[in-house]
Amino acid sequence: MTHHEVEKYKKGIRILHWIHTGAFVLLFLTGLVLFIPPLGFLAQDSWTRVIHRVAAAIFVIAPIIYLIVDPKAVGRGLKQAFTWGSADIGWLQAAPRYYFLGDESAMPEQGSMNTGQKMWWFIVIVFGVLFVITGAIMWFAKTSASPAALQWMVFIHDVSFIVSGAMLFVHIYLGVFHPMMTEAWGAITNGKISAEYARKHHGKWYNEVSNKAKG
Amino acid sequence: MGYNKDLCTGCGYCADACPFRVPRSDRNVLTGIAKMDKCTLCTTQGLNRIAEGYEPACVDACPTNALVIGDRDSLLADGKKRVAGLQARGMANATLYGENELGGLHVMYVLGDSPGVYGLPVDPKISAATIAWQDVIQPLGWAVGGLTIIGLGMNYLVARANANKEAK
Repeated sequence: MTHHEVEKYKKGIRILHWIHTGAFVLLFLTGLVLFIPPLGFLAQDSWTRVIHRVAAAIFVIAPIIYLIVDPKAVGRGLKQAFTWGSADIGWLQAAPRYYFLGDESAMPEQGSMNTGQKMWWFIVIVFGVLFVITGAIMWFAKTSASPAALQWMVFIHDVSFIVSGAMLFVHIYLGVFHPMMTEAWGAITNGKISAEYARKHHGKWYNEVSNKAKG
Repeated sequence: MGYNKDLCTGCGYCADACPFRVPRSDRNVLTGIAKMDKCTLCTTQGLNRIAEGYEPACVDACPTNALVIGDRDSLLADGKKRVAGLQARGMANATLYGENELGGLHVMYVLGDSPGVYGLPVDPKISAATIAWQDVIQPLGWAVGGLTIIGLGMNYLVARANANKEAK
């Protein structure tokens, strides 16, 4: 068999991914200096807040531009992320043996998004919205909202930070370091994965794509 | 309570946490650049009058001795004497504010009427959100972050050992 490749991620979504990643990492680091008091000295004179706000604007604007440019792709992604079936239940049951022991026998065939990736979408969307709402209130209503309201905005912002930050570690780990995810990095950088990898990791999607190519 | 203004990040958390609304800031709404301001009783680094053996400038300047600085016990005794004097003159609600509030404050006021009249909270409390942030969010952050990294490290060791075994 020749080295046959299939396109996993189109250029637009890869650009969005990396712009959003850059913005989130900046937001994460400039937020971390307020969360860990011994690092607070790095935030003195408010300059990390300025970076935080520039990154926040990119974090909000980039997906909106993508939505305008390719609304159908957003619709397809959302539909897939929020449509759960028996393959997802099977994934949840098979995941521990799969991700620790490499046991693929019980793992059902997955679409272009596997169940773990669907959960990551869910986290990004839910906590992304919470981040933006609470952050916008802290930004624009800092002098007008009540102190208690502002404190609870910080609370929700920080819960979102803890959950999505921990899941970002998981996301980076699975994409870059996990011994089985050998082509995830290639998929999100140059867009291509081998047919063999696609068949093994996204069997349902691979069948759909190859049938479409044939027929 | 003193603070180091050079280190201030301008987050404003102290303003929202303070039951007395003492810390203030000038804030650029767009950029968020800010420095908190509050009275440090002249203990600002480099300008520390107390360390040099002086009283705070406001106490020094006060022509009627309305402002007094000293150790808390003697201030308490003096304050109680003043309150008793006010009550003897018919001010039944006169009180020494700060004697018991929040376990006893370092700044106390002799008030001729109930604290609400002077814009002070009658029963000041540390807000639930402050406690939630310090006692829940902070430890939760360390626990979730730490356990995630440990879990991923363990997964890597197990998964890599299995992958190597299969490769052989």
